[in-house]
Amino acid sequence: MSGILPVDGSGIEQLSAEAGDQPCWHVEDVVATVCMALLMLITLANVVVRYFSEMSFAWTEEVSVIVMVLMVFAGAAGAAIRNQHIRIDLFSNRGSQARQRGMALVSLGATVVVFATLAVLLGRTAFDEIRYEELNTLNLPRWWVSVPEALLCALVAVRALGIRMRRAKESS
Amino acid sequence: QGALKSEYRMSSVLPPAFAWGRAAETWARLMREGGQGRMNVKAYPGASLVQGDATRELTALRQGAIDLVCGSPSNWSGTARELGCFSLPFLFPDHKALDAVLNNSAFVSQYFDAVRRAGLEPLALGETGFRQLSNSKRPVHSPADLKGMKLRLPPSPMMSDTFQELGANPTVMSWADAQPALASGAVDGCENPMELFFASKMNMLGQKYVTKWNYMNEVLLFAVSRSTWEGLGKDERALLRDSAQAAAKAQIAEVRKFFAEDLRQAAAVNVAVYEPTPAQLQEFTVSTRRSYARWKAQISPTLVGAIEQIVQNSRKA
Amino acid sequence: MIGGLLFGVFVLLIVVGAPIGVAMGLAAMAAVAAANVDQSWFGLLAASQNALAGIEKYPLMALPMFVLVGSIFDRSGVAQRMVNFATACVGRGPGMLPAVAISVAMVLGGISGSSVANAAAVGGVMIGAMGRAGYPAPFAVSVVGAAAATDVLIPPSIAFVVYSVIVPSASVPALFAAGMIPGILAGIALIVPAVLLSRRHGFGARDQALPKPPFWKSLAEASWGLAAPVLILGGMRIGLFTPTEAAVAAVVYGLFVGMVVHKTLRLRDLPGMFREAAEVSAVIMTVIALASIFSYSVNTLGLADPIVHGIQALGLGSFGTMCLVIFAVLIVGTVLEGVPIFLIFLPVLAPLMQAFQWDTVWFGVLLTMAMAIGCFTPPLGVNLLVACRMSGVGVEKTLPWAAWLVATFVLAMVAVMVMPGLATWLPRSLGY
Ligand code: NA
Ligand code: NA
Repeated sequence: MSGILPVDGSGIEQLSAEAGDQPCWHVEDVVATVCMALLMLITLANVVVRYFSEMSFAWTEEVSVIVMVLMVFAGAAGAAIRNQHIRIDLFSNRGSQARQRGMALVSLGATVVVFATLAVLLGRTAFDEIRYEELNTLNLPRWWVSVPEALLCALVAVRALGIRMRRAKESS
Repeated sequence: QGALKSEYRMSSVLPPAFAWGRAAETWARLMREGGQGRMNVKAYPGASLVQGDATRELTALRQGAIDLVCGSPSNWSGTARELGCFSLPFLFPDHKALDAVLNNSAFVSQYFDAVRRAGLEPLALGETGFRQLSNSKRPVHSPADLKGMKLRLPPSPMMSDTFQELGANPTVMSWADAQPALASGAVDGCENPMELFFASKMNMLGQKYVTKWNYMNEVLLFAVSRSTWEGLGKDERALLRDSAQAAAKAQIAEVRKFFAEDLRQAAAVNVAVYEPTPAQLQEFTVSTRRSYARWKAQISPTLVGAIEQIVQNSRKA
Repeated sequence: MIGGLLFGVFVLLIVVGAPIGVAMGLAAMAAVAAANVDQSWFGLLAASQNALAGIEKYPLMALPMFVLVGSIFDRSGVAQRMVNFATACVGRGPGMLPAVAISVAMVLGGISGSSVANAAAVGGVMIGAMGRAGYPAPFAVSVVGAAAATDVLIPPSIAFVVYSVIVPSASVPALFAAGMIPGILAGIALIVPAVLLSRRHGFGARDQALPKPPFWKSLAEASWGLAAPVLILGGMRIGLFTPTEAAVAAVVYGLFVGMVVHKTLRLRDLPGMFREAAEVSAVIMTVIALASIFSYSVNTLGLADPIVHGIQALGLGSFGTMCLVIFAVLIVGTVLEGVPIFLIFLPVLAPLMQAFQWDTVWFGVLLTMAMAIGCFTPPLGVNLLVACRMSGVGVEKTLPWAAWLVATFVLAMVAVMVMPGLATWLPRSLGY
């Protein structure tokens, strides 16, 4: 689909990277990759089992959805490190150095605020889930999922900040 | 008690094309009119306040993102399991049994206490309608006819359990995926209230055989979040309760009228409806006994036991 | 007032180059908080609930799976073999290579759900080949970028998966079926100008000297790739797979073809491919999650109603309103494309669809066609940028050629607009 890469096309090196390139693996990259492989394997196992035994397991859908959401947040953190999130830099690439830097700061601030807020809200939800002893359809405590989600959201904010600090250090 | 909010948000799952959605609309309208415009209530159908995910309604109510709900508590089974005590298979053979339970004030207050424990103030109860089995293959008179039949089910572990025990081959899928799956023959049948069956023209999807076995009926709970309830004065509370009860009464009447006419409606579109005999119903009930016992223990032995008792007494009467 | 806050924050953040999801999410959070100052946590607990509910949907599983399929087939070596086979069919000469590129992109479109993977796969083979045959690079780049855009219409398509999740009454199989004929129509609409332009300017004259690949041998080599769309679409049609499962079946098949048959993939390439697919999916789904907060705020703050009433008050009627809407999507599509376009427009378009009783499947196809055009309109079109990177051509140089292709693609879209049957006939006759 279009929109798969940042609109400025900055992800293309990665897409056409030589197979021999070994990009740096951060912890969230490992999590996202493992989640992707799990999603494929679970669905595959479901097809195979259904084909041979005419049975289907509803719980695998629940598991898949949980794994998928964790993959989204982990992948979002990885994308924050490499500045891969979809954005329009038609305007922010123009003007003086100072103006560009100002725009980048506002953009960074917005990213940090959104993901930090989400982390806090998810944490608060997890608190409620513990208090009300809420279970998901798998009969497991809901907070087992929402706490990792909150942590990964916080990680997105941290990664976005990290890349900015690294750039500031490099330029000074 | 604080100032009134600028808008009170009500969540409902089905749109006003259905008795469920009309009940939400009616309730909202009665509150707006009865409060002479002081109570601005808006119904959001399709559970759109939680992106269509009705299982999140209760959490959103507790967190204040939803004020009022016209909903089916079995959707919240992860959050408050005991509220789904009405949805066990073959619990109510008919409307007489359901009415005996809904009119038993001791039981209703016991159930309402459970709703309060879940963080809501209960106001009234309606019904979502008996769910019937439909399929494209053959008339289903007994569990033997269900053997190996591929059935689409909504994501409810209890339903999956039940149909597995009946010998069918249940497949869980979303409502949006169900229609093309029925059309292409990827699944043979499904189970729904007849109102939904006709509204979504299931007969055009090859669903030729219906078994009117009344295997499940879920209540429609009219409730308000505790924080919203506590922010209201005596007059508003009375208005809320009265209008909820009026809307629930009208809703039940609509569902019953539909129930009484569904045979005629089915005949008009060449759908064969089979009504199992008491002996056949007994056979269905017996063959789901193990999953029934397991889910009764999980949901609430006390509440389900009370319902069983009332239903049994109503049989004798 | 609150509507102004929502819109203002959103536009400001887009202009400073904030991620699109962040712009939607923060604007929505600000609006929700401003409207709920009297509530606990400013009513923001609904924000996280909606963000999660927006992506905790099993049908969305098809999205990462189809991204993975695209990523695997991009490297499986099937594109080169399909090009050989197509060349054996149509022969050589001016205009033949562009026709081959577009046809191969369409067949690959029947495997991949993403036009970017398609642009990378077709561009990797065709840009070099067209350059050697004497086609100017800006022309070749425009053809590849436009050809890959048919991928979002020809099933499977991630765009349709996302549309179906937001508009549940349009099911994925119905949308997939509905995209087929418009996708082929769009392909034809691209082949015609590509061939005519080549003939008129004498491009590809050097092509004639090259030998024609032997028909049967190239058919045998291409058959592995050609069988993949049959597996995916056929498997879904006969009810063997759900869309998600079809994608997983295609992943396994693509891995087999790449690792065992064509030997273009090695075991150690796998982690990198899974990682890339995970990140690309995560980037799209982050926008979906944050856009769910946006749609929640538009929904609960009553912001869509005035816009919808305003549009209705223009008195353009059903067809006129649709033209207006599609035109707006096309304009915004020049700087933005893909899933974000759906997510920004749909909170307002859904009530419009209802008001004018537009067929949700038909409208989804039209919207997707407009979106596909945005993928190869300069200055910002993601397919075009992929192809430009491969050839080192500046995007601005593609304008004279891309403009023709945009124009004919728009004609194909107008045809679907005037004749809804082009989209609705196939799903209806399949019983969806
Ligand atoms: Na495609
Ligand atoms: Na564009």
